[in-house]
Amino acid sequence: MQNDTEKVYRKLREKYTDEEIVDSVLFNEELSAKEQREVDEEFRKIRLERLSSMTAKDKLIGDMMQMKILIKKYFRQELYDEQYSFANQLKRYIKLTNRSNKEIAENLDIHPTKLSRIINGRDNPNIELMYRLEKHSDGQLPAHYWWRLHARELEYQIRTDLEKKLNEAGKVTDYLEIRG
Amino acid sequence: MPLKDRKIGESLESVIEGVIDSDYKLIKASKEFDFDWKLEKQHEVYKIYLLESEQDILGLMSLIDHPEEYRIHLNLIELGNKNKGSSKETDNIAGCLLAFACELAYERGYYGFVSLQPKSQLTDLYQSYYGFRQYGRLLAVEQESAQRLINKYL
Repeated sequence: MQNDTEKVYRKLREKYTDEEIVDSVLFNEELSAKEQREVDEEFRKIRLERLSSMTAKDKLIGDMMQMKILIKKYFRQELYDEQYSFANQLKRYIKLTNRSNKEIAENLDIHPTKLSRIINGRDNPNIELMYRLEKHSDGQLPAHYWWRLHARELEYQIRTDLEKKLNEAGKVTDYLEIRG
Repeated sequence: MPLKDRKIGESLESVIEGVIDSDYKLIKASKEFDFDWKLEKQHEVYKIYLLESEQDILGLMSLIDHPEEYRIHLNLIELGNKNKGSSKETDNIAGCLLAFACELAYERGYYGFVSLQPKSQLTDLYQSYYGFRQYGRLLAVEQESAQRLINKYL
């Protein structure tokens, strides 16, 4: 923690206007220990009141934004992570909405059995479902996010399913021998 | 709105990541910063730099996590001297750092809540520049204002 922010502020003020300082420095005002305790106490009370007065809608907006940010972060990393499979993210989405699978199937105009198969990873989602999920989340989780989650999973499966790879290779005849 | 070169108006690709021990020497040697950043070592400290110029730290940010209050406290943001004042080289650095703090506050389940205890004299300016709102003696961004910063800068 800085111990003389006022001194640094005065130094900055010799060269810059307050507008220029705000544009380049965000710092905390130093208070005496007693003042700081009072400020912290007052703020804590306000913060806890704010948290307890949040509506279900406020929480849903926040939770959805959290989901979106975590998915964006996952896209920035290279490795596949099971937690971010299409099925697991869809499960997470449904949980956030606080609706049943049956309700969500109705909302998305998809057969409940089909939804259940997708959630359990036994069926693949199609692009139509991704567009519907975008609409259902009011645009917060765009169709292309769902597509990328699915595409990354497919790429992982293609790379790692050696049994299938060998099996399918065995069905190919007269292949091009171009690698020397 | 990512970082922008003020002379040629081009967008610049940047990286924000945690400061490591060896950075503190660089920070001090650069003479770009007026605050003593070694004192922030106990907190979460992040640096921002241009993708093609990792050694040149453009700005720093120190955060304190308050999980019991569902918030991240913005302890300090400071840009290097090259980016202070009217002759600054790059736009949007502080906004990008603040938006990154908001993202962290969402990731941690705090609904984007980031607080600041500003010098009283600067309170109005912080509010108009970054969309902070008053919460007692502190300022904070959350939900809509936090999302606005993320959408604008990241």
